Amino acid sequence: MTSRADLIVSGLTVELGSGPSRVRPLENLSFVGTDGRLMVVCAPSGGGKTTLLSVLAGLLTPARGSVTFSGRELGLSSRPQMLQHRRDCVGLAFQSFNLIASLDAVENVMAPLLMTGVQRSVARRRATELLSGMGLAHRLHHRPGSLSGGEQQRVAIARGLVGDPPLFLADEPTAHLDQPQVGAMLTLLRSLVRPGRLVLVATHDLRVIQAADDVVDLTTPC
Amino acid sequence: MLTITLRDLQWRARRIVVGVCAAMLVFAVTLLLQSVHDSFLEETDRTITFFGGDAWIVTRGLAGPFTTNSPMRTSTAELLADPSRAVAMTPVAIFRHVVDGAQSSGPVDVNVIAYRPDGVVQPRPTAGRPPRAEGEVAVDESLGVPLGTTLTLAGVRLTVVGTLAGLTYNGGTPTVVMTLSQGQAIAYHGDDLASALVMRGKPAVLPPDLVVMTPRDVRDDLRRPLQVATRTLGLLSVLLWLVAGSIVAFVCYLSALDRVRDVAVLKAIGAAPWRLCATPLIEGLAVSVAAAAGAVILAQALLPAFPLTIGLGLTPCLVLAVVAIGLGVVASVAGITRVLRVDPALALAGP
Repeated sequence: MTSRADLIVSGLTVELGSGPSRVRPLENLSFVGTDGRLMVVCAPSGGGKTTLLSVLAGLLTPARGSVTFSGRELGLSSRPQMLQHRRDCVGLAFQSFNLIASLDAVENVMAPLLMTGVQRSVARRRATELLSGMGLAHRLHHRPGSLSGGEQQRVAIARGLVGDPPLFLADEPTAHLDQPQVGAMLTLLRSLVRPGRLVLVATHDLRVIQAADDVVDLTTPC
Repeated sequence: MLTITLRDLQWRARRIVVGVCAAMLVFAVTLLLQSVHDSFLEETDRTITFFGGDAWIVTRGLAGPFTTNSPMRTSTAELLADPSRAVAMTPVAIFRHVVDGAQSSGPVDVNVIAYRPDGVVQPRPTAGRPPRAEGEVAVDESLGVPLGTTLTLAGVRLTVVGTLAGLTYNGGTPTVVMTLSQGQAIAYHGDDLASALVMRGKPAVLPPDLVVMTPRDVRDDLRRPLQVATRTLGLLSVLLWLVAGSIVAFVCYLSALDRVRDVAVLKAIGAAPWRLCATPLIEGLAVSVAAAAGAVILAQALLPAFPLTIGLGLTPCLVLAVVAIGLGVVASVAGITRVLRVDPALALAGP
């Protein structure tokens, strides 16, 4: 019996482009991620980390292979099923934060809930709780442009977590942070791990790799 | 979604304001064109109403008393009048001329209506009185001359004894009203001729060389020379609507281009594409409707600057509102198409 947040990737091959410019950032990749663990996918730049996250997030259809999460194989060729997967199962934190510049911190975090029809007051309460828990209570109504890199990253993570997803994906979460902020980020990532959730981080930052429970090495050396 | 849309509109407020102003200017011009178009038609109605009467009698073969000049003997009026059957006739002479002394800039083109006082035609001046004798005229207010002014028409000095409101035709040309004998002296070398007979009642018989025209026939005759102008104004209005729509579409498309990354992120975090279409749709409607509302105010402010007497009716404003909503929806398609084409995987691409 597969536990709730177990991930099985089997024979995954992704092709990008066509004709002579076709590339295969991932070829016949298989691994297992276990519920309640911090898993790091490591590879150098261009090694397929972001491509893998795109497939796991239901944003990219692989050429071959399968992805099973929580005992259910993802219908990666069906747009409605991919959208449903993103809504129900996935939380995302992007490498460059990708906060919406016109929204303040709390509205950025509310956005995923509002998109799925959650009542505005409920979404605001949930977003405020999350941001306060991350030490951003004094920054709720600041727009991204007036937040530091570390604060933007925390808002981005809060946005990924607001729907309480069983699969949380973070792409290079330390890429834009300085040394003290990296330490805080590692602590935050560890705190996200709990039963019923798999946290998967794509990075080539050795400090994050050392903090991981499991490591998937897409290429060697990492 | 409304929150995200409103915040986006605030974020791009400067561009939105520029788009609204540009579209507003174009919409205002369409409103003014429509008002000019409507005034051309309304002045013909007012002119026909000025004459009163149930029908007109003109020489057979004429298009109408305003556009052709084949006068008839005024004695025909006496022949056809039949007081026992309440049939009354008033001969009128209608022609165009030029007056001096109305404006310092030089001669002014005018329409001339010459009528026989105490007949079917009863001018109702807004100031002064109707002309009753040779040497007197009543003029339309748009000529801009006060009572007592002396005008010169065909070398004849005429004193303004009354002013009339809204008596213009042929595209806002002011009208000078005088007695029939004065008009005959100017237009027919004093011969006892008239352009038409304005009639009250219905004659028992009519000579074969005359025909009866209804007021509607006469109005259509009066409007015919303006058909090219009114059609051109209508065509210009449609073209300007398209220009306004293009401005709104441009604003929506630029916003959509700016928001490509945001849209990709929202799709990546689970937003259904149809929900994201609401932003360009609301943006298109907001720009278009705000521009239309502003255009009504702007057009109203510009009306006094026009040499024509024009007014802004409710109908053109309602038509503009409907057109603005339609254009807003259509224009937003440019932004919606862009939003739908955004690949959510772009959210994971590097900065």
